[in-house]
Amino acid sequence: MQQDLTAFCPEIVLVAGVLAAFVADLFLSRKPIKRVVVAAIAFVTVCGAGICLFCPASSSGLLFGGMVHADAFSVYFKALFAVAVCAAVVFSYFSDEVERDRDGEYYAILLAMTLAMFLLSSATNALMIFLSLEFLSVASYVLVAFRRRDKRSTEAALKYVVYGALASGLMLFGFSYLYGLVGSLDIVEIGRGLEQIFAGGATTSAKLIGSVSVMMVFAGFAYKIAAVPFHMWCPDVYEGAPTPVAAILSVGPKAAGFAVLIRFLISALPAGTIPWPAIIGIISVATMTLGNIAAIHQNNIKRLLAYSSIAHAGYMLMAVSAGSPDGTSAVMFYAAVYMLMNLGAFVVVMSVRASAGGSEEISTYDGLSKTQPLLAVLMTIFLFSLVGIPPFGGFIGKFYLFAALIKKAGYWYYVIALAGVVNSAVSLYYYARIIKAMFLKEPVSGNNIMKRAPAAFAAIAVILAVPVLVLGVYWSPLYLFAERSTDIFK
Amino acid sequence: MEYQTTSTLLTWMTFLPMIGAGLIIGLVILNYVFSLSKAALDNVSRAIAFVSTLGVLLLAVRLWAGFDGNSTGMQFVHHFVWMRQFNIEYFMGVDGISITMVLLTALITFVAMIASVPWWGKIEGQHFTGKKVPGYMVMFLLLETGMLGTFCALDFFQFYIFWELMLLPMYFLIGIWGGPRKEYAAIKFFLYTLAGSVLMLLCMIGLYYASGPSTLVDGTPAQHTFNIMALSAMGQAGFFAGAAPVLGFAFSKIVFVGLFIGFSIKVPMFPFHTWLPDAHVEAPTPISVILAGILLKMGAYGMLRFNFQMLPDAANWAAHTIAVFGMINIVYAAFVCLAQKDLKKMIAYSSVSHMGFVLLGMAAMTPQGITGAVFTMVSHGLISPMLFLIAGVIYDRAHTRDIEGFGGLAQKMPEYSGIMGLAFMASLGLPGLAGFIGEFLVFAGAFVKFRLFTVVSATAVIITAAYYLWTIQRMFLGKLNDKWSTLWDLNWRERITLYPLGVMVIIFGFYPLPVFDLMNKSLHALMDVVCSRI
Repeated sequence: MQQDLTAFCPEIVLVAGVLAAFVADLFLSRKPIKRVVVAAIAFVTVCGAGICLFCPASSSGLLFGGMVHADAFSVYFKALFAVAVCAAVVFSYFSDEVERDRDGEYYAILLAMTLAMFLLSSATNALMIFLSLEFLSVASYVLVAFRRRDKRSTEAALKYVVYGALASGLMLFGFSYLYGLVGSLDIVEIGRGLEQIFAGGATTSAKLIGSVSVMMVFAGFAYKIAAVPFHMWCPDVYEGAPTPVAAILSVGPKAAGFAVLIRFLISALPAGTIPWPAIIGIISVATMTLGNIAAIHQNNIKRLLAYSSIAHAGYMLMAVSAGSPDGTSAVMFYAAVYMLMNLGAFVVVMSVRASAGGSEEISTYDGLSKTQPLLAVLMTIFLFSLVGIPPFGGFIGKFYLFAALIKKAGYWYYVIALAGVVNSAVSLYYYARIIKAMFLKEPVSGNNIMKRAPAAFAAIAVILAVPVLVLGVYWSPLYLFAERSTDIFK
Repeated sequence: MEYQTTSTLLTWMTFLPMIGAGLIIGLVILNYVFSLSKAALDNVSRAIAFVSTLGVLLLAVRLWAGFDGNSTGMQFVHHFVWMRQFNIEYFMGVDGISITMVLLTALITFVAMIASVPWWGKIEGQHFTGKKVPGYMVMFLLLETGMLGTFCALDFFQFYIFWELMLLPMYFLIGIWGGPRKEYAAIKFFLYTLAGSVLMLLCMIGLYYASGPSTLVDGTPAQHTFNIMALSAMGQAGFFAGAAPVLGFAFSKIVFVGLFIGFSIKVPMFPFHTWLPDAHVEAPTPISVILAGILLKMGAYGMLRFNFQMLPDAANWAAHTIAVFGMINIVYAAFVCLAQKDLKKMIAYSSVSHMGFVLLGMAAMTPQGITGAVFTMVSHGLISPMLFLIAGVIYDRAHTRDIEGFGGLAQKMPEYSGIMGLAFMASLGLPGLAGFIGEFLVFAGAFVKFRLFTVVSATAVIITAAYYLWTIQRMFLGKLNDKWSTLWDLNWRERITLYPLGVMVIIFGFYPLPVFDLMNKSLHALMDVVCSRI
């Protein structure tokens, strides 16, 4: 039991942090001090959890009777979440979109969301997967609706809830069938059971039920990573949510969704059961194509980034469909690079929004290179990295995604890779629209800087841009970390 | 194991402009702190860029002096392991084919640099040389690093990074400092080239996984390799011809087609050429010079280095198709030139036409054909910058390039008319000037293999003469339009850019041996590989 709790240390730290934030909220009455203290608690908690991840030799097997598995795979994703939430705490503190009188709740819920992501990435039991997914969703709903007086914010949250309810309902239904088929909720047991069913021992109807229920389970994952056809919530939610929340939603829960999806695919669906590489491949092509084409016509930058995040989910699914250790480590590497560049882009959006009096239209960016050159240069780095052009980290990420596919050397994989490169070229068009506005257009007189945005935004963006640039020329440490973390799947 | 580091000269050459760009960025940051005057900031960044490009040119001269034309292998090699995880190496080196391109790049970039500063001559009104100068210089220098790196890189991954590194600066250089339709031209250039290079990316990964075991430069065994020399050796040994088919097609053929499309967008080859007239016309003069003088050669260089050297069997298989496309390029673009009213657009299409000669010569795979193709790359790299500089001269003065609108300019601008006549004659292939040698060799080499295509292509020479002479007639002869009575002749900045190129065009027209000496051995080695398979 002793050993169990050391491996669960990061989560315990987070729970303590959530409680501490609530308590501090309760007892501190002076607003400015409360803000600082609660944000500091959140920051220290997340850093602490991040340090705990690496302190003990913590890949110590199953915990709580096989509910969660604190293995190297989950540690990698947890480290990503810790970095992302650290950044989120800082930029939330400086953003005026988070209502100042409710800081305590905000940071506590942010920490709760982190806890949910930690649990989701290490869940090895269907029930645990469902519970942590719901935990994560509920925390996200509250954060999206955090601006109570803003109609768009509440509308976005409502849409999010409705879609979420449908998706998780489908997922739960799927799990219930799987339990009925194999008599266990442990995903490894589910895998063994399905293997037996598909090996020929069972009737056709049992195989059919197995396939259908797995498809239903996919609905829950697809919802979390915003893959077609469960992507519709994404643009509305990103547009309506406070920008810091949209930023963290675009990287955290998405990466957590990928973590649990990969774990489920590899443990519960061994070869010979369901042809999931084909299913994921089709979803991947549909997701990236839809995301890229829909993004072309967006005029709101947050909606544009939402569709871009859908497209990026498609790219990552592409490597998931390879179903190989290379594919998995490529997705993990990409998730890290994507986190850096997408957070960076959102931070620039926050800064521009703050200085332009809340406008999120792309026309706000006209002539940004003249009015705020540093932000324009940083945005360019992030956007070109999202396109996947050297010498930025995004290119290396994409290179590994394609390499994983082509290594498989199958007809189907070549087709997906071709769709992927065509999509990359298409994506340039809408990212370049922003760059065109920033560099090629003159500032419109109405778009003058109304007030100064906090310098902290630019500072965070610089801190995020450095690794994006460095990873473009020197990426082995991160890739080795990702590669080592997939060892359990070999 | 074969190529160990012998010199770091190429690395210095490639990254010297990047150091310059870094200095300028540092200067801009200093400017935020100390608020220098705009004139000081502009002039210092111009000076830094000028010195950097001059430095590259001097290093290039040293490279030329130290190059041994009798060796077929790579020289000035700088080689170490970059990323062990994917067997990616840092591998720079030049052989006879790439050194001509490296020298050309260093020269043309320096010429373009002189054309980018408002010194030594009057500049009227709003001019791109006065707009956002530090940004321009940074982009210009990054572009030079990308170009030199592309020609020197001998690791496919590294080549790809340099190849793409050029896109960003080029997009901004056209998009910010360009003409009226700059936004459209810039994004069109970017999208076309990116579409080609992502295809190249897939082919690159495909070649990597199809390659056999090799050793890294430090002796570590590697399962696959990006090393272009090792890949070429494998390709020549028939390794890729026997690889597993892709989508039902032979591996070497589909990779050949993928790479070829990627490179032919850059060349540009019909039907992928439509970005070129837009980009060339909208780009500021020095950038048109670089586009026509160097960027187009990258496509052709890539074809030689990858398609021909790595996949010789597929190259033989595709030779006829390439020849047909070369012929279409030559003839079609020449006819389009006839219809142009914009001087710069006419010159842009004439580039398309001349790159057709390169394609035709390469496709012939005869000693004369390939030598002619590479020589045409060099001569076109000297002549087309002249043409674009000439178009820039008249545009700076008259703010129009409408050929029909001029007339009788020879009275007001005799020196200009003379140099323009020289450039036009060189471009239409007048014997005694550099353009002729390449064209003649291409025709001589191609006639043996493709009689019909060569004969059809040769008719374009007449059309070329027609549009050039007609242009001269419309612009310089006849009655002077009173509107242009205030025009003045060349100034010193324009002379420094135009005369050296003109002199080289004449020298290489009579005495092309220095160029042949550089490239002959390497070209013969390449031809032995490719032609032996017929």
